[in-house]
Amino acid sequence: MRERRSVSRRKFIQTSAAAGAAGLSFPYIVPSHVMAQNGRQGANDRIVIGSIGVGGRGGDHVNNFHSMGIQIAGICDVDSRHAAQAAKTVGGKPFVTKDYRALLDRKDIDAIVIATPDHWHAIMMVHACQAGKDVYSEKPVCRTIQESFAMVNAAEHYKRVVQIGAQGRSENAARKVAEYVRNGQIGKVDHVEVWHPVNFDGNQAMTKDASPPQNLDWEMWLGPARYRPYNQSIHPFNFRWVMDIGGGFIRDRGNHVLSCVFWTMDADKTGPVSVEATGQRDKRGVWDVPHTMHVKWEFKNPDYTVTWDQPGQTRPFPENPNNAIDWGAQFFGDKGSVILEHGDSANAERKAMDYNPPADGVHLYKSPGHRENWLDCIKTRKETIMPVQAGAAVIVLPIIANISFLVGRKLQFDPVKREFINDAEANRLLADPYRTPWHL
Amino acid sequence: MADLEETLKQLKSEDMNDRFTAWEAAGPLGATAVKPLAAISKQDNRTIGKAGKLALQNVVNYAGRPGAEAQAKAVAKELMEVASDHQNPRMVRTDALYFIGTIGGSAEIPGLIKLLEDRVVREDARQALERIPGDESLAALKSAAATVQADFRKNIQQSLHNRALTRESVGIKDDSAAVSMR
Repeated sequence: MRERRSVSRRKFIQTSAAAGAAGLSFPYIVPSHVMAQNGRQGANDRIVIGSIGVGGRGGDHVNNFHSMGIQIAGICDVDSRHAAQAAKTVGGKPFVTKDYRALLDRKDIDAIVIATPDHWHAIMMVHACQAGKDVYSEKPVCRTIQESFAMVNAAEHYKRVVQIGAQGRSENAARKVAEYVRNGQIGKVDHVEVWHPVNFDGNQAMTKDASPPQNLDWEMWLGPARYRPYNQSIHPFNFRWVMDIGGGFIRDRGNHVLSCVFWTMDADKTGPVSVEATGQRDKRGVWDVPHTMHVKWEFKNPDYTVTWDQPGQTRPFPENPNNAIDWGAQFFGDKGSVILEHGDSANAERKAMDYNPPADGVHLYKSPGHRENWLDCIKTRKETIMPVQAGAAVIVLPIIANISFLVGRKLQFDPVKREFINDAEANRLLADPYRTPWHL
Repeated sequence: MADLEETLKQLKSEDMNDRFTAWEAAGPLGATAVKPLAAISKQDNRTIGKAGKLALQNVVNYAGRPGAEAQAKAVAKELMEVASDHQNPRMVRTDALYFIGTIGGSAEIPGLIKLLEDRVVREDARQALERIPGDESLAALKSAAATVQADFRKNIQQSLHNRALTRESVGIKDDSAAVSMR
């Protein structure tokens, strides 16, 4: 199921009203003194973005940012069909290229949106920061622990505003659940159950490796990833089910719900101490991620566990017993539990939605929307609702889960060093040598 | 423990459940299974080829477990022979080199150095050397920087650059022309 987040006219108007109420100008205008502080000319003080990866989710971003009045001056895609469609959407004469480096070279672009396949996220984000651009980088954050270090370093060293496209924390229901739990309404949390539909299966004939189509630069599509011949079962979209590129739903959509789990548990500066993953790979097709999966992560100080199940046990909100939720998280404490649904949008049990923390309780920032929050933070230079540091903490979970699955054993993990303990083979998988000329 | 002949037979079955059962159980088969599994992985029938590859991956990962260093050495030795065999298709050799990167050690370094001269798989061999930790693999890369084909020296420089990265330095720009991406 593809995520569709195109903005209806009604939602656009609602968003505009909310933005106005929040004191945001529409289209987004950055005061000239702010732009000057960051060394940019900004002739008309508008944020100008470049978009890398404009098919699928990237196409959604083009549509939405364009609808918000943001100028998209540059488009990059290795698939010329996607690039042409995006250029048509934005109109005018945007700069179009299949080489993201050319986009980063442009002085008229302030910020970059990255919505490529996963193996490009880290290197493009790092290089965008090095080029002085603020970044919106889609989930999953990255593929390896080393990549996550690089992304944090780049954002901090070059003082860039980065939003990771795990937009769960911009969902009101996620905030309500996090406040509900962090204000003690279910007591001390013992475990969190996360469940999700299974990965797509190879419900198709095994396609043969072939020459890539004329519209696709396969060598550039691969980029830093290790060599494999073109196969139409991989591009577009289905790279998600190839372990060393997409990593399956746990690394893909897992970012959404696991980022909410971390937010709720106030765990952005922590990590798991062990992981154990089992599952069964798809029996057909070229894909090799686990089709079904069970993962358990253990945390210490405080002590709790988080589990991930594909498909897991669907369950309804108590107030709506006939509507089973197929994707979400349930937090279990010594005083009760609460469910967060995370599908195309988030929802939560009524008791959490109706809960208001006391004045001296934990109050969490209410995001005006994930894209809006990023644009606002470009103006204010404040931290986004899903900064790369939080993204790097969250992505540890699916990365080490996939490694545990691959090596077939439970692994002990040092959450500070972000290394496995006493497992040399597993540690070799925490970084991935890139193909030349690509490097961090 | 699974029987090798029976496993090989099941991996070539038309029944996907047989293939699945076989690759799932393949881990403990050990070094003697490497070449037969590599042979299955190169079959034109890509469904069977996938089964062979996943079985081989399980053999590698099982041998890579802590305390099984002797098994890892034996499996890596067989993988090196698969990677070095020019009769094998490119992807079979590429996959073997990837697996060597995850469990290989000192014994594989001479073979990897030799494959740095093989235009078909030299990049895969470089990546394997880069992944193998320790002074020997680093020394091999440093030596290769001056001896490999001229058009490949930039690739070796990249590995040397990557091996020097630390948690604190990765992601911070290196202006060295040796690792320019332009």
